[in-house]
Amino acid sequence: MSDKSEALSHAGKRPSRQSLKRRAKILARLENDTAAAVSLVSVVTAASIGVREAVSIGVGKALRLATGLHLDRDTPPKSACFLLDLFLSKPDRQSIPGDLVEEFETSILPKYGPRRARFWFWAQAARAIAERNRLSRWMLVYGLGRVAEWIFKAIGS
Amino acid sequence: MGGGYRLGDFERIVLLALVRLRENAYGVTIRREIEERAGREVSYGALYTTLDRMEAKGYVSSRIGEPTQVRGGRAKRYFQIEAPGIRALNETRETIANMGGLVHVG
Repeated sequence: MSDKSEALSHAGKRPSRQSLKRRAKILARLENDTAAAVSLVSVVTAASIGVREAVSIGVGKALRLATGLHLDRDTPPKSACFLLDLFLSKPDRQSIPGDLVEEFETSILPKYGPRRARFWFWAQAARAIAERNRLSRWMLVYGLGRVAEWIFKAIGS
Repeated sequence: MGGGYRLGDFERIVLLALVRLRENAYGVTIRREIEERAGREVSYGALYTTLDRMEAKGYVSSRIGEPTQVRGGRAKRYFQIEAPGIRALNETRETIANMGGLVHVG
């Protein structure tokens, strides 16, 4: 019989002094165990929340450092502008980033706010590079070719 | 009617946008015009690819404008429709009319 059930089984009978002492001991032990369990759960929860927060903050910071993705700023992302300057041809380097910056400032930012506007800028910059940069166009063609080859083999086997 | 190059759907829309915008036709305004009037979402990459192709054929010409503060100090590239572009646009319209494209079917 467990301590708990033994303690409960004496309920209703007139208890002796010894059994009362024993029951008090058992209850005290149970109380201690519960308190220990509760404190253990709270410590584990706090630790997991802390770790999760630390990881998310760390990942966010690392991403921001790596990509310049400061989502709350109301300026066009500098890293995206840098990539546009890097991958676009000389005639496009003035017109396309200029158009993107102008549209960002005049219509997208007031309409959607800094977070969505910066996402929009990144998406447009990526599309512009993919469509205007020769190397990325060839890489896209090569990638699609490989996918087609894989599908052809998968169907054939 | 000449047997020259036939304009594609998107090329026709871009040329019509240039006709409407006159001297103020550059990337942002062309894109906005197409979005508002034709209801088509266009990326700058696709737009400039089409404009470059038509410039190579002599349908449009471009010039670099002045850099402005709102563009982060970058210059605009203005586009203008040329005589061969207007001719191609008219030929395409005639072709559609001849084929009965202006008649409501059904």
